Amino acid sequence: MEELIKTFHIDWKLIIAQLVNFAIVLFVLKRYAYGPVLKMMTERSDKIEKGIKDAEHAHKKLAEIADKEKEVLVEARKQASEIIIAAEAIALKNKEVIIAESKQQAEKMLSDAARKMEAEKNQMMQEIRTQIADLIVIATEKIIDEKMTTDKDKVIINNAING
Amino acid sequence: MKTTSIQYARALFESTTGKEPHETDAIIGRFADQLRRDGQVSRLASIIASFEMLWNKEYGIVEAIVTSRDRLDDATRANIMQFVMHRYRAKQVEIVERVDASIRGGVVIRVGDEILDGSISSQLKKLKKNLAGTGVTQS
Repeated sequence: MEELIKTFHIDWKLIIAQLVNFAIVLFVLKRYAYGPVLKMMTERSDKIEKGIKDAEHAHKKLAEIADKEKEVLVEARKQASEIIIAAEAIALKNKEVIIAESKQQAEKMLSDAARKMEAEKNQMMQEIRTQIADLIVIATEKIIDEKMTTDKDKVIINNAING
Repeated sequence: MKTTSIQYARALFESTTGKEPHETDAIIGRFADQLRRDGQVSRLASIIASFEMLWNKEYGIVEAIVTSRDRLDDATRANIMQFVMHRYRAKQVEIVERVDASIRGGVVIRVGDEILDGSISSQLKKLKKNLAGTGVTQS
């Protein structure tokens, strides 16, 4: 042992001094460098971990939202399709009703017009008949007034009372 | 109840029927007094008309109002009288003549409410009505 110590020139005092120095350096490092760095590293690690977790959560959320969006879109498309079908049905029904009403109205207008024309024609014909009758009677009266004599009047009176 | 003109006339007719002229005068006088008391003098014309109607009916007298274009000659008047007498089974016919040139010829005889219209003007009216109604064919 002594031989070994001599060979390597081991100085116990120096070793102890170095140990003390080392302890002081270790203490200082731990106190002022290693602790804060470790804390900083831990915080950093936590932050990264939290960031990863958040990213995963966000990714998951995004996926959920995407799924939800798809569902909403599908539902919306379905509802839109139903609304369009219903609207088309209503439009078709309304169209049929409107066409029927228009047809009915047109027929009524034609019928009214025809009736009015017929009434006007009848009125006109009646007026013409009345005017012709007036003219004929006026002419007949003139002829009678010119041709009537007392003898003829007596014949007319006798015819009237003898049937 | 209010007494009607026909009731007054009937009362007068029944009370004067078969009476002598002097009795009739007295009855008429009393009748006039009664009318005055009843305040019915204003209805005298109506009562007289009703009395004439009863009288004519009782004695078969018919009054005919005859309207012609010119005055009737005797022969035509006699024919009309015969016609009315026969138609209404009258014992006597009284003719009231009216001249109206607007009838243009023929005769109108009115007896009571009945009118026999054989005038030219009425025939012209019928002709006019027929022509205006269906006389002209519609094209």
